[in-house]
Amino acid sequence: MPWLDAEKIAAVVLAAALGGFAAGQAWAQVDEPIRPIPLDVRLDARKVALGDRLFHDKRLSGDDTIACASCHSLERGGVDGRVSAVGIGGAVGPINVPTVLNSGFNFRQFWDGRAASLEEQAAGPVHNPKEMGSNWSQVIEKLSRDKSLVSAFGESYRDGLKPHNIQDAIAVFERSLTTPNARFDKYLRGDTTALHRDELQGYRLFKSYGCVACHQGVNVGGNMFQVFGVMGDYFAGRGEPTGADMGRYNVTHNEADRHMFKVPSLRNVALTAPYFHDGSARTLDDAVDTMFRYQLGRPAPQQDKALIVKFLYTLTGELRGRSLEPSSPSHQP
Amino acid sequence: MITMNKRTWVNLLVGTGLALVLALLVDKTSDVNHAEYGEISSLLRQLKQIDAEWNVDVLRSKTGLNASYDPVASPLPVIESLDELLRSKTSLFWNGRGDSGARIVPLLDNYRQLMASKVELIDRFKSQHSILRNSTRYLPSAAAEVLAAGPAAERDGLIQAVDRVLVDTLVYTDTPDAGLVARVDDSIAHLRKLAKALPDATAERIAGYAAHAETVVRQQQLGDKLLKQLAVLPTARALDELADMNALEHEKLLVSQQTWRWVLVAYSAALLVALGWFAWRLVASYRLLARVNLELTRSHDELKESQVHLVQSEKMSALGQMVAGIAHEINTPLAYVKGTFEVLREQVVPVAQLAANSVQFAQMLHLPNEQRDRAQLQTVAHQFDRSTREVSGSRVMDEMGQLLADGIHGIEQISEIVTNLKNFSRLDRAKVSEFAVHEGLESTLLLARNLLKNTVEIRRELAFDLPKIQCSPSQINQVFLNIITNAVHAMPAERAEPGVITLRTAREGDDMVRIEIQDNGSGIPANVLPKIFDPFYTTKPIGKGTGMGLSISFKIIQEHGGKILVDTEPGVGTVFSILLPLGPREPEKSDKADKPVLLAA
Repeated sequence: MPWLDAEKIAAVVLAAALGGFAAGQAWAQVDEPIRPIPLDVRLDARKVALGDRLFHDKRLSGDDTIACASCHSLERGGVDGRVSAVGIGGAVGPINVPTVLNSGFNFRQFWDGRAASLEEQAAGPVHNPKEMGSNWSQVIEKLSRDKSLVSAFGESYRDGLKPHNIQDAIAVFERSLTTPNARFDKYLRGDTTALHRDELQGYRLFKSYGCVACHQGVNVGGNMFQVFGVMGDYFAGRGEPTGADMGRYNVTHNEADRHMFKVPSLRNVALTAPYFHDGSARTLDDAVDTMFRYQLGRPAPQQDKALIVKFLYTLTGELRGRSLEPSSPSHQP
Repeated sequence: MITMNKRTWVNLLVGTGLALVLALLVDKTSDVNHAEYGEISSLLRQLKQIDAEWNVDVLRSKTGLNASYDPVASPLPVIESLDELLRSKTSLFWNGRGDSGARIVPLLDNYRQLMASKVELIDRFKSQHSILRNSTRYLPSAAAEVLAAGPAAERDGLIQAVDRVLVDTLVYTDTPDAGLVARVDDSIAHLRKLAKALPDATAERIAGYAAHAETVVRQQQLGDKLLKQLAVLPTARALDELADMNALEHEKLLVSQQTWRWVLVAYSAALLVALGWFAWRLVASYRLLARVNLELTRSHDELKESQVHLVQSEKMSALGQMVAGIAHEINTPLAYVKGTFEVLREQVVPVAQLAANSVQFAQMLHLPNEQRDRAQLQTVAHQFDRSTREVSGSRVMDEMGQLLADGIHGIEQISEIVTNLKNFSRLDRAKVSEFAVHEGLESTLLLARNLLKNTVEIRRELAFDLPKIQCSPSQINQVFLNIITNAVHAMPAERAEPGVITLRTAREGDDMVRIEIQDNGSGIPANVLPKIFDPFYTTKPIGKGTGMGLSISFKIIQEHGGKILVDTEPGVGTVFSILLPLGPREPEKSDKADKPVLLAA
């Protein structure tokens, strides 16, 4: 009846007003649910350098073939481009590799949030028989023969080459891997020319459809848990359930945590295909489709989804001063 | 080397014990670490503040004031690190105290548990809130979509049903009264019933719409429950309890420290009193020492005087013993001289007669020729002739000359003895002068000649160029005399073997001379040997010796910086060796006061 139409009109007007307001605002970021990545990160340069060496050091694995960088490759957006990680001896891991870029902004580490910090996370893959298949005593034994490494540890840490210091150095290095100056960040900082109109529209849709309810904050996600399949049973739809599918339940054994996962960050999402913990979405379009179906539980025109994907491409930032965006200007999925 | 006798050990132990008690008290009073307490208080305050801010941020998220969940997620690492600090500090600070630690630990565990619950609740809240928000915001659009897709015929019934669901749901979200839930469920059920009659496309839409409405209600209920649980979660109180306990323990520690302080003060006072008493005793004993020292010094001086007198009296005694001998010594040459003079007197008679006859004759000759009586002259001439022949014939003059020489010699001998006596008896305290050892030995031998008589043979093995020494000649001579006397006494005349005294002198090293007086007497038995230098010790019968001789000799040699050594073998003989420095020397000070050096017997 008329009042409903009126409400709908009112909602649209409001949305338009808000959108216009947001677009015109010089300080758009103040009230926006997404914040730009800080431009300066203060970290101990020596520890960063040491962590860099360790991150790329294959001796952290049992057979000296796998380093952290093997799966979290800095050349590939901090991931390996595979559905699941491949570990020592070709062992296929249970879960998709989350990106190491901007991981310092995540409130927890791993898909099931079992590590409270980057330091804690670093020990996980080292001891996982399907990933690096080693242990600290082995690693320490190998590394302690490396005199330059031992002296580097001695410089930064009072107690030298110890597991907690290895973890610390790697964590400090990982914290240095932020990707500021994505075009969207520039927009948030007030550069209204940073986004095309389509991309801006995509952002508005991202908000109005409710994607932003979970993918918010400075890391566009990474600060909460959410069930995978809010409005529909994703796993029934997909079939072939695995242990990893249980998500946070594996940590808390609480029924309420079934299929609960840490909401992943959408920063640099254009680089980190395939998507989701099971790597089931090969493209962003697939991923957006799945999200609409199972998380938002509402239909949306293909056009809107495409615009949202365009917006997602603007979340790709710079690593160590170099843009990670692919060189071609067209942002085709 | 420190010799620790029992008393010293006891004192040391007591002293150590007292020091330990003191150290313990000091340790106890300096125990309370205020900085630690302050840090723990500050940590708890920080945690409380973060906790409060966190509560606010949750509500801000709920009301939409916080645009993202970053504020609600961000306390996590801070809380973790603070918790880490709290854990380490309390374990440092409290674990040392058994019962306090036991009290704190359950509080800490309680707090941690509460925080863990809080973290979980807030995590759920975030999930819940996002879903609620999305579905709530979508509901009006979903309603419109349903109606847009529905057939025109049953539009009114559908519209109403859809409306009802929307209104009821939104009203419920606005005022989440439990009673309204039933109403919403009703509306939804009604709508679903309607949907059954509708075409699939519409029915699908309606199903989706209804699902969202149900989601809204469910999530609202969940959210309310979560927030209620969060509200009653007594994290702030747990922190307060910890802070109170911290303060209480600190108080207790301060009080106990205060008590210990009093104990320390009392103990220190007691120690001071004890110290004062010891100090007073120390002063008293020093005064006593000083007094006694003064007395001792005086006694010592007196003794030294006495010693000199004793030496002198021993000398005199020795001399006295020898008086008879000396008298005899003098007597012999004296008698000799007397005899000589008596002979001389006899010898003089014919010479006197000659002299008289010569005078008579001369007178006769001087008379004038006329008065000269020839017969008288012949008588006188004859007398003169006879006298002359008596004197010259008997070589009286020669004999007289010889007798006179002998007499003078004897007198010289007496004179020598007298000189020696004089030297010997001189009361000079350590008057140092140059002394020729051999001369001393000879003069001593002379003094003792009567003693030696003819029964003792003196052999000399004297160094060729023995240097002169600086000493007190009379004292050294006294020593020689004493030892030679002893030697003689050791060789009684009655025994078969003739007595031999051998005198040897030699240089000893660069700066000493050695004088050995050896006899082949009876030797000194082993049981007597250690005592020979003791004052008043003698093996001679009463009246025959003072027992001071060797004792004084030893003293004299010691004061010259020399040594007396004895080597003896009973039945074979004895050697006394005297070592004297060439120049004056301080007497050696030795721990073993006045114990002479005895060579292996």
